[in-house]
Amino acid sequence: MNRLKNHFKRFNIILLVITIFTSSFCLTGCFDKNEIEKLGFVVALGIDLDNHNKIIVSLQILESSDKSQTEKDTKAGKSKVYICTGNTIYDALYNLSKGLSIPIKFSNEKCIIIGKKFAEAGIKPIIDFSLRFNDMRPTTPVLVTNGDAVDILQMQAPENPISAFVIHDLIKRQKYLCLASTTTNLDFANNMKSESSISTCGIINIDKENKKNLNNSLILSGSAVFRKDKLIGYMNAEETRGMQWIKGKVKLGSLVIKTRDENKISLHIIKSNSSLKPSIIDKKVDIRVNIKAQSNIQEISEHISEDMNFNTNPDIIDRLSKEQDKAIYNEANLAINAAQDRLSADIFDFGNLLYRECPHEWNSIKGDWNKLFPYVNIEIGVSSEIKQTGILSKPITNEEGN
Amino acid sequence: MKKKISIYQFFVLMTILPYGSASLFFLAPEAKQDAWICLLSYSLIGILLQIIYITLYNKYPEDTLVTYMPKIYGKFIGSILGIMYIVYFTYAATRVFRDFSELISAFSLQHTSKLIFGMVFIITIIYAIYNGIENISNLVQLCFLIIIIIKIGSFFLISSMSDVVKLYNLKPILSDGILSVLKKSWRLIAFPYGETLVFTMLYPLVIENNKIKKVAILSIVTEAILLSLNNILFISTLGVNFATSTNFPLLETYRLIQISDFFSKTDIIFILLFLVGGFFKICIFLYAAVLGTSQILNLKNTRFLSIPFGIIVLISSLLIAKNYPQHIKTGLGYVINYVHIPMQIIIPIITLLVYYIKNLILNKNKI
Repeated sequence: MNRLKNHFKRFNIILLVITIFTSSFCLTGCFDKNEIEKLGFVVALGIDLDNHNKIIVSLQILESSDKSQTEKDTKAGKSKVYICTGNTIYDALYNLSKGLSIPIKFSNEKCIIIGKKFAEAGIKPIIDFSLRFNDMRPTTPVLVTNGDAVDILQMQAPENPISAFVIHDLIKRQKYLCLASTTTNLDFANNMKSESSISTCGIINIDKENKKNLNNSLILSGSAVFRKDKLIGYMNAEETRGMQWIKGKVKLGSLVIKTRDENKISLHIIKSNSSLKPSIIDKKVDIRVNIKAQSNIQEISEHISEDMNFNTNPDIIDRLSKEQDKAIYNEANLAINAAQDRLSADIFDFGNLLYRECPHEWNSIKGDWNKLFPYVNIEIGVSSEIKQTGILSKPITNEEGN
Repeated sequence: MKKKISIYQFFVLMTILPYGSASLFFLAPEAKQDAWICLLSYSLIGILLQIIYITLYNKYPEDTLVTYMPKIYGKFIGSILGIMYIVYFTYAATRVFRDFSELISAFSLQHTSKLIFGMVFIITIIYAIYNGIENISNLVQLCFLIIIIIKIGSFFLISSMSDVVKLYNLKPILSDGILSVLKKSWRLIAFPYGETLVFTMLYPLVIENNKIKKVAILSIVTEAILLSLNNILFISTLGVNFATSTNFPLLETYRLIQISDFFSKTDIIFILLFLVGGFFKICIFLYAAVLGTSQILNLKNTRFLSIPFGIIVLISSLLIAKNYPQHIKTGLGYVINYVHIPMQIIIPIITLLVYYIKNLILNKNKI
């Protein structure tokens, strides 16, 4: 015990005091301290290009909560949109600080929205900006809009006044529904350098066609196609889902099939996956796609003339799943037509697939891949199953009359 | 010499030493997606190096690298070599220290001067060395467990997210044959495997020294497996293209963790975890330097030597490079070719040969 006391007396106690003092001053962060009330949290970042090639940056910043506490009726938080211009993105943000009294922080960012003009000029700056500093995460989704990104940020959707949160939820849905592709900044960075160098990302727009709906709402549907970092074309929602069938990503959604007598049956997709088998023989590329899907019957509509008693006759299910095969095949074909004829861009990432599976042959055709792709032979085979008929075993109108 | 380290502590120390900073980087980016194969296959050379070091040690079971050098080469050349090794250990500690201060300044404290958090860091290290190797090795035993648990936890977290781990990113495997890949990544011999040279200073401190060889080989193998698992993890999540263009790929992988909306932004925990690894690495290197100095100068009280050495490391870590890219460039190019390779491989091999030739001559003379 005495030894221990002597031990402490001499040097350790001094060292301990020094350590505690320095750490209590330094570890709180002398220059890098962040206090939550004094920060502007950016939830969405919009990027546009004006006519003089200057970058317009729009930020959606959450308002601090002490203001909204006084107004008791507003349950959801409020946000404001700030707009600034500059030669580069960071330059624009720096210009903004002339008028904005709080420092901004990107750590809670939900999405990046890119205006059409900026996308056509090349999105490299924003991908670089979002990955270079630790504020933003490599999981931030990137979206393109047909108009200006500012309009999207200023939109107030009925379900939530902060559009960034609405978009965040929309993206989450579309990850499974696959009517728009969901791409993060990390995916973009990888795709730009990859073998096929094509990326797709979702398109967000304000719903203008639906005039009956008084509330304006945001629509996330279809995808934009990028070669390297430049926007080269669009795909609609069906083509996007066709693409995702081939990639095996569709996890939810509805599919309408027709029976022999033109009756419509809605199917609810439960899961799907795909396997791809590439081969290169004498510079001729051949890709066999095998899509597997499972679904349940969700709805049988209109008058049914034929016997649809599933429990007594399970063969009907097999016949219906043949129809389902056809429907999936058609959607996948739509995507292939769009990719090969209209866009001539390898949206399926077959370039990487070939690089992975046959690296030696790929090296010989790598240079001409963009020219070769429209003539690639893609064979699709679909084998789908219908697993459930729901709670009803047969259509209710079956017995009484057609 | 007093024996202080148990065999298990020795194993942990040896595993954590190269792991400390090697886990930060994409080692051998030239090998692209085959880097993990290179890491595994070069561990064989790491084992070979260990066998050389241990054979040398077995000739002088009570001596460290610094004290048996004079016995082999004579007092003058031996002492010069000993001093060279002390400088080398200090320099290695300095490099690692710089790695970690750059990590902190890139990821969390951008505006704070490196001197300030460097000071806090070095004071902890000085204190650890002041307390001696037995305390460091007790602490390492505890922290190794924490590192492994968090490692496994992060593995589960990352693989529990859908669409994040894409194992197909590892394809094509060895498309150009294994030889061309191994040729490109030969620097792995020096960093991380060659760094285990520092344990030539610690072998005499291990209690059960008949088991050293077995445990050293085991720890190199563990090391290789841990590092290649890391490699597989970040290549399959980030993709080769992005992994090669980021400075700290493993940390970038941990930044992907996002479990629905409530569990994300965990990177500061992982920075701390990396710092723990780095702390031990710097401690061991610096302890080796302090021990060597006290043995050359025949000092009795070695504890206070840790303070000047700590200050040297802190100051020189700020001076060795103007900026981060320069630091990395010298670290992975110049330093490996002209510092690591001679110190880790050439000098030990020559020493072993000199020992055998000397013994041959002496035996002949006796007969």
